[in-house]
Amino acid sequence: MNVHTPPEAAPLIDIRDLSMSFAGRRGLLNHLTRSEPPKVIAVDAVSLQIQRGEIFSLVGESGSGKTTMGRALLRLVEPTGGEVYFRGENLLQFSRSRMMEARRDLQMIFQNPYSSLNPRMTVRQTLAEALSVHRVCPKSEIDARVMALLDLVGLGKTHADRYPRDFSGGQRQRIGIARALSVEPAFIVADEPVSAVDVSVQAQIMNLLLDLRERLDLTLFFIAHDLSVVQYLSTRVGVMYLGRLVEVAPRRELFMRPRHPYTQGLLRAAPRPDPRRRSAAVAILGEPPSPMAPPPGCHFHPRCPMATDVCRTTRPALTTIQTGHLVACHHHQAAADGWTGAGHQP
Amino acid sequence: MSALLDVRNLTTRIPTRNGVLTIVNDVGFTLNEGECFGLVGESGSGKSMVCRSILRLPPTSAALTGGQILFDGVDLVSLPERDLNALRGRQIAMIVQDAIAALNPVLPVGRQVAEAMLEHGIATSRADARERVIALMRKVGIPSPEARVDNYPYEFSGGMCQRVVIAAALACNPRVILADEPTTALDVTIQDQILKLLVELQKDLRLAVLLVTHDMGVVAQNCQRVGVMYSGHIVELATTQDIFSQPRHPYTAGLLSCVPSIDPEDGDRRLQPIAGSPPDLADPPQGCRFHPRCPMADTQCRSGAFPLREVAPGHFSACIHHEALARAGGVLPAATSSATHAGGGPA
Repeated sequence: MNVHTPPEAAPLIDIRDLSMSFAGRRGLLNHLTRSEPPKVIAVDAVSLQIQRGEIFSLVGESGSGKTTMGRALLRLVEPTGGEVYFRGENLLQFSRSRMMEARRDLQMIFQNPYSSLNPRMTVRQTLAEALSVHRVCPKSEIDARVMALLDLVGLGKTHADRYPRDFSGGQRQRIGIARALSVEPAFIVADEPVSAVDVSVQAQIMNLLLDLRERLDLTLFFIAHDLSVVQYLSTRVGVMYLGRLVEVAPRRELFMRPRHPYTQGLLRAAPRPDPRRRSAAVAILGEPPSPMAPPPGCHFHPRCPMATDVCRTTRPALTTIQTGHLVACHHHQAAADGWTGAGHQP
Repeated sequence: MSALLDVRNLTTRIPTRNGVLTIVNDVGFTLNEGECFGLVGESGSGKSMVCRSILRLPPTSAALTGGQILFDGVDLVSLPERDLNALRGRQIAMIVQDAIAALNPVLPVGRQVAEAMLEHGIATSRADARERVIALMRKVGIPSPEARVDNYPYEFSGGMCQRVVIAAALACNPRVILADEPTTALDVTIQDQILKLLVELQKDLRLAVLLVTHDMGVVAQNCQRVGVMYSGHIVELATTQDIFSQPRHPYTAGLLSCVPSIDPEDGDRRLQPIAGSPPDLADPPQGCRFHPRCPMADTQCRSGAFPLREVAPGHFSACIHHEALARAGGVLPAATSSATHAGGGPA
């Protein structure tokens, strides 16, 4: 599957057919019948290129494989197939020590700022550890660096010697961001960084990420389920369903002219904070199928209003239908023609 | 419309190591027949505790220390436990956030839906109850209910478990449904299905629904009236239209300007976050509890009480600067950071 490459620059991250499957547990029945336990394909041959300076968002519902995708491409779980090129080299073939070095450039911000900070370390210790492990600066400069980092994420000097328990959820997420930034990474995977915080704090964190991207020329791979957050933050968006990428487009294009029936349904399902535009009809019927027994053909066909025979048998390839807009649907043209916007009439 | 549920001056306290916390502070609102009333707020605002206090279900350590909860004219606060039990599930039923945890894992779902019917004498026999359960399961959109009625909760998805919980809530034809974040644990496409189901049932059965949520989108799509809670207080109460088009409390206005739009057509305005974070209930600020975060706060806001007052017909606000906010079209004065922003990101 050849995904589009803008001619002007080599991508920072080039993901080719990345796959991640988990073997199910071998149960008694498997022993008795000598059968193989079911396999879950969490990420199914996903190809994607990320340019420097982008905020690429991956959206999907739970079980879509978006978090596994983020972890697999940093080798926090070992992918079962494919390649991930970072600055032209395949990360998946790096030795342990080589990977350790590369992690300085590849950082992660976690969803839960409560469990991803060591409760026994002060903020100063947490940040200093990252700086010294990766030998970012001489020991004598560590303190000054820690202060600069706190300032960068909107925390003050007075916060340095406190423990994670002394902070609110939003402040902890700022600490998590400071830790990721401490080693001056080239690429950050942010896994639902704003979904555990309240809406008033969520806006603070999102604005911080936008500011940091501008100031530090960051490249972000942003994993999210909230489409309005994605609309606000992203430059480009990919939509996942049951391990497969079903649509990729620049932000505005995706939200204005979605071409996959699943993307269209997601946009209609999101509750709009506008009582004048209420929706009456259910956006997508049915439930996502079990990833242990995904339907043949297009995974979305049992819930799709446009499904026909071909959808039940043949997997649609992710194809470029116009520059930068890729979709995996047999009926994308009809879907595009039928789209009248997600806005609801009174 | 007559008020089916009339909550007045409700106060709930919880003793903790850091002293007694007032989780719900002098809260009042009415819920009418056939109405969906939203209670919206961030975590720790006390919205769930209001919901639980109505059925006197807060954690055992908590105490209802004041106020009245009139249901059809009867005060639930002073009602003996036995009489309240006769109402629970029968007249007033609850739908909780975590449906999977709410169901007993070792009982078939049908038995659980039937339980309240048999308890309250709605069903005459087990066979009768089973028939009614199957009909209810069909009504809430569970496919092939005849087969599913004997399944255990683990055999259902999260969305289907929530449908089972809704079926159990409807089992005794209650008049009031208390829905505490009923879709927060669900994916957006399933949330959409469950909320549409609730609204349809509410209209068909003329139910009064109290919908507790943190999501302004859920409020906008489903509620007729809304109460906005902050730090244990209702700070604004109005029709959904008015809350969204002309907020009269800076916290409401702040919440609305924090919510990103899903529509690129709405423009690439930079969100205006509310500064700081919600106060610690163990040590709340004096005066208006929102004043340390409020861009409109002045010296008057730092002391005294701020009760809800009617500022326009049917529109209540606890802010003394509600007129200034109304004159500004419900838009808060800009905080120190730049008000404009080049875009949600270059597309």
